[in-house]
Amino acid sequence: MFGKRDDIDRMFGTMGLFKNQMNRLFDDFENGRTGFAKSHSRPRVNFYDDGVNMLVFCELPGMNEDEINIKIHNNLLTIKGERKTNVSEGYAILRQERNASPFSRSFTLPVEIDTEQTTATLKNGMLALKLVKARAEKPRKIVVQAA
Amino acid sequence: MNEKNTVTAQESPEIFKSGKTNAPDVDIWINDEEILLVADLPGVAKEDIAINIENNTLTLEGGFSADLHGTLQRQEFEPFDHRRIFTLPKGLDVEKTTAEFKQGVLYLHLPKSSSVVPCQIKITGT
Repeated sequence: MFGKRDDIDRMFGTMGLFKNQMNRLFDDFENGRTGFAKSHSRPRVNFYDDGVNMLVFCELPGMNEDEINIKIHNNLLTIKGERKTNVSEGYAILRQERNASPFSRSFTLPVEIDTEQTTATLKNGMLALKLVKARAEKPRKIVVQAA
Repeated sequence: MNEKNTVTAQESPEIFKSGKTNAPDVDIWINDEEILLVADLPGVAKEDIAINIENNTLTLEGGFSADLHGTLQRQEFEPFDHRRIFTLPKGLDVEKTTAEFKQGVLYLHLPKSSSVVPCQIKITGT
């Protein structure tokens, strides 16, 4: 039924997207949490596609550029790191929701990526990864010519 | 469904009014001199943070301004503004509150008023 493993990945990805949206219908009262909440204990990631690029956004508040490790190998994107909670000595904890455990997240990319052109920027605790699609994957316009 | 997620607060101020906001994760630390509130505000610029203290109520708001565009493929967070409200205890010197913002994390120092800082009283007499 499915020719390629990619197709299956993509189908599950779409189903997951739909499932998340459905789950969220009932979550509004809870007023969702951000970043590394204890409940999910890993940074959250959004993927976008603008035709030419895959854009990956990852919430990494309080992290430095050199604490984040990004790797792409055979369509597998991995974002790794560890956040340190740098609160000075002598404080007692009243509430702790921000997580500081090491994390590693991996994603199978749906398209071929030109790794040479990949850029990553970190601004206000938001990591933005720009993955340029390989030439063959970019949309191409075909002009119809009169016979 | 997708369109809703690509709208930011700048384009549509009614997001705040509709109550579609994220509650940021916070750590609260305390010592003898102050209460330290640490909040994660990823995707928020320093200029878009508003901290208001009124009648022992602390309101923390941050406008989401990261530029997310394209067709959504996978979603784990929603690009909404951040907002969270706290009730402050008595005995804080709110006038002296200071705040710093580093890499998407807000550090809010709420000093205790001098009458609350513990001190030892010496007993005199014979």
